[in-house]
Amino acid sequence: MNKNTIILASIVGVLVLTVFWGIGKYNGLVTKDEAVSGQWANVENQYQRRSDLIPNLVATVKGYASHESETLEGVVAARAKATQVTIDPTNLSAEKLKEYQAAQGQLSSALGKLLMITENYPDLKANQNFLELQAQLEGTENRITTERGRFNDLCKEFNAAIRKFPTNIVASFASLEKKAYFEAEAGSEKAPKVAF
Amino acid sequence: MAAWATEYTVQTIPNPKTTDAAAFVSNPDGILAAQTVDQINQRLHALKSENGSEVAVVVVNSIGTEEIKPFATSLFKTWGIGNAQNSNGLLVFFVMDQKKVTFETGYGLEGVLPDAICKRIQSQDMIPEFKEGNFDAGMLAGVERIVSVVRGEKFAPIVQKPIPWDEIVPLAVGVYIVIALLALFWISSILSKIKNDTRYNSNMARYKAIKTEKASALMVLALVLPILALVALLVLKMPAYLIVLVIPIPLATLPAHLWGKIRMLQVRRAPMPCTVCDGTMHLLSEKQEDAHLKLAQQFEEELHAVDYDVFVCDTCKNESIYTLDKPSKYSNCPKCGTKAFIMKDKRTIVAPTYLSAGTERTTFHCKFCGYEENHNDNIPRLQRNSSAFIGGAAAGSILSSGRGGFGGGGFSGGSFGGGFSGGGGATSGW
Repeated sequence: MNKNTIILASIVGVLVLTVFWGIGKYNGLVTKDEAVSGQWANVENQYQRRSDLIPNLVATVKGYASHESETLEGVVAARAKATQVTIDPTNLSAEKLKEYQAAQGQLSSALGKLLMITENYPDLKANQNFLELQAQLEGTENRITTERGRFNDLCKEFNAAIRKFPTNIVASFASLEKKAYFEAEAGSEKAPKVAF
Repeated sequence: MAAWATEYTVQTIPNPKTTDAAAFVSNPDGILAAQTVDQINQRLHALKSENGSEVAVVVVNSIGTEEIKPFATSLFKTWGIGNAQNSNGLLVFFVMDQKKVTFETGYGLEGVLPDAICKRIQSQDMIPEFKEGNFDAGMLAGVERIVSVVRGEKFAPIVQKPIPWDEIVPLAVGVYIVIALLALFWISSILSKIKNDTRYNSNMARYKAIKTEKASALMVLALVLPILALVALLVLKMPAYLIVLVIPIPLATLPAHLWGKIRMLQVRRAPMPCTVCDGTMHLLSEKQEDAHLKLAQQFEEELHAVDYDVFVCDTCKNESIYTLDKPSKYSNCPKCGTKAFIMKDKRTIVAPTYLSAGTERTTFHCKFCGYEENHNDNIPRLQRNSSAFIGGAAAGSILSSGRGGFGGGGFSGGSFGGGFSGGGGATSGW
């Protein structure tokens, strides 16, 4: 075989394989990116679910503990504020996520306070409706934790993928950026302990 | 309770599916009576055959200091309870030393089993019994209630997971293009090597040499390569549908094959130096060459059995004739030597029976000189057995053995269906 031919053949072969490998990798990254956006929707759904439970909960508690208006209003206000902060999953920036987390965290602590006072009302604690609302709230907090954990896992996977060599070359061509994820739970962000 | 209490982790809790596909209860510490386990298994097996939903019941002494709910979520994920498409699974998880029971609902069951209903089942049917120490009765009542709630639900029939073609195809197309280019380079290098090789003294000799080398090169790329790919697929236990990707490999060599054919003909027809003087010899056209060929040779060309190339020198009129045998049904006539000898007739003279062999007569004749020859051959005795199908069955089993492990519907199978949950459900203590 002619030497030049061999060299030329190998160069062309490597180039072609590289291009098609790049296409495959890029598609893989897009799939991962979509998975993160999809998981963000799951996280938001669960926060929304919690938000939807609150009016009912507040109404029930009001029936038994109407003079705890300050706490009740605190919950309503925190809910109103939390629903205002939304995130476009295609643009998950660190600041935006922090803002979101803070708003939801405030709602969490307001809820925690509310559930704490309910301890003082035995009649309320025996109410079947309240018990089931509490169960739903507890389940929702669990769901939030689970979906957030999965969101973080997917983000970390995506971030690792776009930084690892040689996939990072493909990622920089496609200008894919690191995704922000939820930070470790700060004190205010802890889910309220729901007693049963 | 048991003093030796083992603290289970998600990995160490025995999965009931690994020992028996019809089992749904994991009761490693024997907290439930064997009879209860059988009863629950029957109920849950019936539920699964009814609408496909899977309920797993896990009863253990201790999970150490782990929180019950995240543990249940993680166990659900590890086992994949419910089928992957509908996620219609439920995990009932009981921990003795924490005095807690929790339900982990798969995404697909959150509709029928909202947290409030889970809580209600626990507080009405299970907890009162557990408080009395009646774990069998409580678990049975709970399962009974769950089954009555879940059984009414209909789930979509399971469709297979789509194959990720959008990731496979680009790389495969890249590989095809590389193979196509490789074939082109290989054949062009064969061409240039043989064109410049002085050992071949005529166009025809070069043509034949190129033809042989090209055939072996294409054989490697279009036959050996796909076979190697198939072997690799089997050895690496890749999914069977990838076999489809092997099929286009021979097609990828087609452009190189066609291009090589054209270049080969150019080599064969090129003018060449005269074998006698310093002049140049040119190939005559099919019409012109007849004047230089014998009648038998012209006849052979007409039959497409042999190709004759006639080269004539421009200056000294010296002529050279080159012969190329073509693949054909004709052979050389034993009498006149013309390649025009062919089978004319084949008939059975004595038919074979189950008892005796038969005779078959084959008649050959030469289309040029008319010479005829007969051959008598034995036909073997008829046999009374049939042994087909073996090849087909083997091929079928390879093709169908693609995706195992999924579904979990079989009777020998060892897993839940691969469902997902998201932390839903409720927990109660006593």
